[in-house]
Amino acid sequence: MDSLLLWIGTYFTEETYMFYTKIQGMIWSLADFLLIFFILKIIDLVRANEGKGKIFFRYLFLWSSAVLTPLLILPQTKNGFFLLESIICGIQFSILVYTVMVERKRVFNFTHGMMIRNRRSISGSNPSETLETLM
Amino acid sequence: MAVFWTLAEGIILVFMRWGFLFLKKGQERQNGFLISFAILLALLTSLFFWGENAFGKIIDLEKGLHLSAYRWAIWNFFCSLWVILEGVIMIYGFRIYKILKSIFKNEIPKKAKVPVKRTDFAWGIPLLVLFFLLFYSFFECTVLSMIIKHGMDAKNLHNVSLFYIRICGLFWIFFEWVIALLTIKIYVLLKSERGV
Repeated sequence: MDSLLLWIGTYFTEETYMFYTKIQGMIWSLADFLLIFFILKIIDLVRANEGKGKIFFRYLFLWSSAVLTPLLILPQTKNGFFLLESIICGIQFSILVYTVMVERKRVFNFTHGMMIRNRRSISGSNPSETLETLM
Repeated sequence: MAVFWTLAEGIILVFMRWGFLFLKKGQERQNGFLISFAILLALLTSLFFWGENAFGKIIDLEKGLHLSAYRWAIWNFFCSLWVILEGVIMIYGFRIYKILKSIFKNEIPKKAKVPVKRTDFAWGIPLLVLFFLLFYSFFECTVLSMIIKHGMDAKNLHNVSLFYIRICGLFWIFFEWVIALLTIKIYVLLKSERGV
């Protein structure tokens, strides 16, 4: 273990670190994009259920973060990378927090409605029971 | 930034717990968790901003290498913490997906015979936290012994710590992708249910 760490300490340089950071940054930003994108799709389902219109601006902001993601290859310094990554993650995080704050009740009502509908279809189950009592 | 991103991860975790508690118990209250997290965040903020002064009274942080080792230890700790929080979020994602699937596939009465702890991955969180705390401790102890035994210099310490961050990055990516895939599965589940 000691010799392995010594080897890493000698050869895992700042340049190597930056190289892998850029690759990892793009991979996790893509995962974040997919995550937020499908959360918005879920919200669209919920909104459609209430006859509300589709989300537009949040998708727009999300796609702007997707456009910025390939630029993660450009920064030459840790600070530059961190700044760009913070902008990308900041946009995605803001969309997520805003969505949860604004749509939370709507999603809960939607899910609750589905729970009741599905429990009614189970013979002998009481729709007013919580899942905990059932499990 | 370290404290801010910890807060951000914490907020996402609180939302996930809200969802999970709502589905499982029909209520969203989690005052105990919120208070515990606020205390933890206050302690971490203190550690980040005033830890150097406090620890400087106990251990010698005047020498360049000692100070570097301390600062890297703190930064690596925050990186580990982000991975832990992301992992816990992933486990809540699994639990939410499993409950939704049980509801929509009408599996509740059948699953009632299975112990709750096995079905909702309750063991996963302590296991994950323990694993990463041990992983972090093992790394830091090894680095300390390298400094003492082999006279590891500041440059090597810097490179080894960068390597540790990238290892954390691998776990981070894995958890992020699992969460993304779970979200897609939840979307497909809701969409097919709504289509019925």
